[in-house]
Amino acid sequence: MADITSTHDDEVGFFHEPQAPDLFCVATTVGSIETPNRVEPDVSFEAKFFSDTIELDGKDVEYWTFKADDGDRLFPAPLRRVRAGQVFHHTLKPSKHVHTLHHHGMEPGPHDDGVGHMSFEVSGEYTYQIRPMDPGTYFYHCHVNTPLHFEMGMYGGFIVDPPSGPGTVYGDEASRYDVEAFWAFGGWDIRKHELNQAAGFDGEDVGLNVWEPQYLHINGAFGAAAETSRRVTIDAQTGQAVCLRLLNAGYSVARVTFGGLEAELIGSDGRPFPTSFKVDDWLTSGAERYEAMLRPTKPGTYPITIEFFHYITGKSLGVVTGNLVVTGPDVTPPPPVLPPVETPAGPVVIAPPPVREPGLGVTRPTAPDSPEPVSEPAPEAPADEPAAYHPATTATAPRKPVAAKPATKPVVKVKAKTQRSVAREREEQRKASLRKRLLAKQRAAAKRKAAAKRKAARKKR
Amino acid sequence: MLSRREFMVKGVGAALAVSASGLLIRPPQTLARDVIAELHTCNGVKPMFGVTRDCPFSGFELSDHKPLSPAPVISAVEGDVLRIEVTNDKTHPVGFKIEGLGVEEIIAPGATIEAVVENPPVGTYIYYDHLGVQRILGAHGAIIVRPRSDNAPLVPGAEPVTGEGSNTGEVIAPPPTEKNTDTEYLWVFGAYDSIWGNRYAAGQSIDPKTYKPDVFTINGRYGDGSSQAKDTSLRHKFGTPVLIRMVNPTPLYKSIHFHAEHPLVLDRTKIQKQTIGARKDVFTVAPMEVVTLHMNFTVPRDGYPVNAPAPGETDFRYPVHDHHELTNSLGGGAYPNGMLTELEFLH
Repeated sequence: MADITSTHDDEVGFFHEPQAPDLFCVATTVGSIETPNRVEPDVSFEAKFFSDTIELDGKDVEYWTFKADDGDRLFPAPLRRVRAGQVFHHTLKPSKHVHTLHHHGMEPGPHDDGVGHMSFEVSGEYTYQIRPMDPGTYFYHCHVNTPLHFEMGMYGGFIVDPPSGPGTVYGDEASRYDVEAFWAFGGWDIRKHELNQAAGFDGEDVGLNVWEPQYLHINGAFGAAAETSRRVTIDAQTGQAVCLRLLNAGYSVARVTFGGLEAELIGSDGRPFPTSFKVDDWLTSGAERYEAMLRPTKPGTYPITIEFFHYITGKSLGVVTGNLVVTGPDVTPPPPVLPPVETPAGPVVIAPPPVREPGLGVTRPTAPDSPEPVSEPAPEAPADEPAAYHPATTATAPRKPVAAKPATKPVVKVKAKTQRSVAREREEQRKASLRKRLLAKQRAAAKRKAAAKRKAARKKR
Repeated sequence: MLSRREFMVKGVGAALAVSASGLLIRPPQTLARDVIAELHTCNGVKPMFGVTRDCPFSGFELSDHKPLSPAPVISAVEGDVLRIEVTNDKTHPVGFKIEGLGVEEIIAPGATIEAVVENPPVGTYIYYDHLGVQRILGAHGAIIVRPRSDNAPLVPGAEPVTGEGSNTGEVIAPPPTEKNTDTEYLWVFGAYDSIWGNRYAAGQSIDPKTYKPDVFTINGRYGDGSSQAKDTSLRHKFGTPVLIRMVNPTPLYKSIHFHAEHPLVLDRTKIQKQTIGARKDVFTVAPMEVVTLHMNFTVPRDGYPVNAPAPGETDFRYPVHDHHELTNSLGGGAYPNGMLTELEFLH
């Protein structure tokens, strides 16, 4: 039996030991500073903070977000777009509060990463300078008191086109599209929409650890309004390739279904997949982005659903639906093998900027009437345990985790031990160890003796 | 910090089969051996700085009786015999289960069991008390089984490492092995409910429906603790190959976001398996899932005109955190004092 020492690595400290004495990460706030190494940009944007309200069930609910200096007051913040390799400037004007802009998924220097507690928060004005090199789907958001500021609406989509411009996601034929849409979907827990900007900073419990949204939206169109909103509805023709860029802007997982169409997921988080794959539905988590290629061949309305799940119980929080409306003749290729359907030539329709639109609030809550979960907790979850196994997981996950496939199966034995047997075993181990050491000593002594004998013999010769 | 390679060079004789650290140090592995872990059930308290309450937890400890949650890391090599002895020092029955290794036992108060797993397969496993809400109270830990050969992939079946940007899709390195991976990290996530913890410590009953976690951790620490600890924060020179095992014994989905990097998904055990081999900046980690990542500390790609620290510049730091942002709080406020850490590029 090997001699194993059970050792703590004291260097790294332990769970129960005091942590760093200065608990609160202190962010530096700056007024207006100059961008390091500032150059002339290819593209410039402005992000000016504003707050407004939207009527939900007859109640005015406050939100915060960004707009261009002369832009409309809309939620989410404006969709941005540049080409890979272009240098862009994004100038933040936080108004009377402190905010930042983090361009999520892009990899700038720390100064331009926009994380308040890692670099600085802006109270005056700051211009972020970035040159994104990888085409794909991104977004930007405030990274100050993020559990609150993000929830309040301080985010907008960001598309990086390949150098060739819109028309493909990654610059290759496989990612070519005719119609593009950007959907940011999330939910509002309106209890948080009554808090002030620095809520919780001094350690008081303001419920930042809870996310139970009463209202779900796609692109700021809440509940039933999303089904008809021009911000959401995608118009396409049969035979066209539709690229739906998805952003989960919530704080829990959400399942996307594609209205009965098969979606080809070609990339995520600003990087193409090594191999694209087809799905009927897909589970996303907060801040993930995906490009889903849809290729409808039959006319009709395809309801694309987003179902959020409670972050603890896994129960459905409701469904919000947007529509893909397809017109034109049925171009379904008859099986078995025929020449592929030609994509109609014509101008590419890119994701349109959102416009002011009345009636985006809801007249009924998004959450379902039925309190029942969409699926029962997994059978292996103990009855008295909170949904340790999320329904969303159990729907797609195997019952048991797939461990590495062993060449030979492990042999498992479990036996009960009494205190006496434990003591006896340890005593035996101790004796065995002593015997081993004694034996080793004897062998070493014998070896030394033999060596001395050989030496003496050599000397004699 | 001691990388595994350094450890091997120094030739430390005693194998660290069990440690409280998530920074993984590899024991010598020339011969198959018995890996013995003697665990005791325990209770401990986690302080909540700046908040007017603490968070008692349930955990496992070694014979030195330092209560731990997550429980000690048990480290073995393919072909070893795992002998895990668990003594229930509590006054109520406890469970002991190793997900994926076929161990599941109930231990009476005062009793001891020995779970023996011969030839455990290479992988990362979660062990925990499966009775009631004990796992959620903190009684969980991880077991790592590594390949015997230095040249065998650390994750069985792992594909070679591919590049990004102009190297997208191109193989830039073979699958990570002991030999070509400098450092490994193990991140065990936690989501503790301090009200539950206090009720448990007071011997009161717990209603599972009331679970509302307010302490969120990586390897048991939060805020500055997890941002600065050597077993959670990633501080390396450019080009350093690093492997990260993310283990989620909590009931919550995690959505782990890396700033300034797009690590490669080497393996995942439950969902989104089609994304294995992809580079991403956000990683969903389902409850009871293990997700293994590989990153090379590549230069952040989008800074302009400077995208690397100047010589002597030390402050090239970025956060890594859960984008289910509620877990970046402590006690319902106090952002950013939840489960987050840092990655730093060293010149």
